[in-house]
Amino acid sequence: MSELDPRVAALLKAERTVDPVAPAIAERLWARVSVAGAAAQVASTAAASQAGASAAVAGISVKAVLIAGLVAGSTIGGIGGYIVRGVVDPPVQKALPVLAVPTREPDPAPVPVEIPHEEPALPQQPPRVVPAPVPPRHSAEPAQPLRVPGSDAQLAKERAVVDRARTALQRGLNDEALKTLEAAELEFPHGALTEERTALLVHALVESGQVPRARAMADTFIKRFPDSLMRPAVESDVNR
Amino acid sequence: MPVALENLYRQELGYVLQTLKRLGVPAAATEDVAHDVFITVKARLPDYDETRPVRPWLFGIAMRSAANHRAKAHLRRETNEEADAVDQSHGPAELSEAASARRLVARALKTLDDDKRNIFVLHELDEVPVPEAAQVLGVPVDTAWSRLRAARREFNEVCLSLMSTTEERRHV
Repeated sequence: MSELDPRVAALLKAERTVDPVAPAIAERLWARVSVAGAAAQVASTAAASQAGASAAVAGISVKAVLIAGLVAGSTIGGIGGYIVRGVVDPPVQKALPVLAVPTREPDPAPVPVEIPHEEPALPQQPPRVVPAPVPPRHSAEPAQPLRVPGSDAQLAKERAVVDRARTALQRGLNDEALKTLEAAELEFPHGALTEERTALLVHALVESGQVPRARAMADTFIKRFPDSLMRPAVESDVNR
Repeated sequence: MPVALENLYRQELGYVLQTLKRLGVPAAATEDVAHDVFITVKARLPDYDETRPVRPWLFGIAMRSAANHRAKAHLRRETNEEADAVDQSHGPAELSEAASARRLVARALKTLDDDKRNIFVLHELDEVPVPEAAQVLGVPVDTAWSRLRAARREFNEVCLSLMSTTEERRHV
């Protein structure tokens, strides 16, 4: 066995002590770990309720969602914008510029584009379908950016969970929203919508009366997303 | 939430954070990776043999989480250059002796490859016997000894080199 120089051995001896962790860091991290831990316990419940909640989402009218989104927008700012996002008509999206976060949207798959007829179509005449252009197999175009297989599917799944949580919050079902978001934390620990989910989670915790946990989660949010558009809303939530 | 997880978290968070740094996780990412570690701990806690020391078990989880982080960072084309730049921005004279020594150890550890660093940290810093360390790392005992010998040799050389550089700077 090769021997270490006595000076190097002394360095190693000093390095063997474990530094204490700052309480703020320990609490902040524990807030995240405990949320994910709790999510493990409610994951099966959340999964069981997913079908019912999805049906509820589908059943909500655009008008109701719009009203809820605007009300939420007036109280929780950016989160309200996200509440509306994805379920309202294009004109409403124009009125709420905060909705535009292009990097978080899944890439649309190349699907056939249907061109509506200006005149009533004959019953037996199928709609005209223009297939989306398909790139040649040996195209000389530059290579596409690296994509993780299944990432779009994961994003769509995560988006559905976030929408379910939003809907629950709009309907005052704070516990259900909380469970959904906690389950999402476990399922998508590094998901593309982590920022949005965490902001919603802070809101859900506040609404559930769990203010200390909400504050810890807000600290985590601000640390991870210091430039987030939702930061004012998150701070407003925990300071009201 | 089982009490055992919170107890373990409170007792061993410092060890986990320090281990992740030793394994090359950049300071800015240690909290995120520690989060992953404790999520795994939570899932695997029922399988933990309480008659065994907890730190080697935690080390195994931390080691895999650190490797996952490195793989993802590689996919995102991230590097540790920023963290390294911070490390090197402080001259030895600006640091206390203890902090300077710690930084020196960290820099020397970074020069080891993953296999050597894992056995070196586990045995030399965590003081886990080699046969047990081999079990944690999933390698034969002979392989663990072989890697440890090579790691000690390299670490020794790098440390002495860094020390002499530090001494020269002090004299200048």
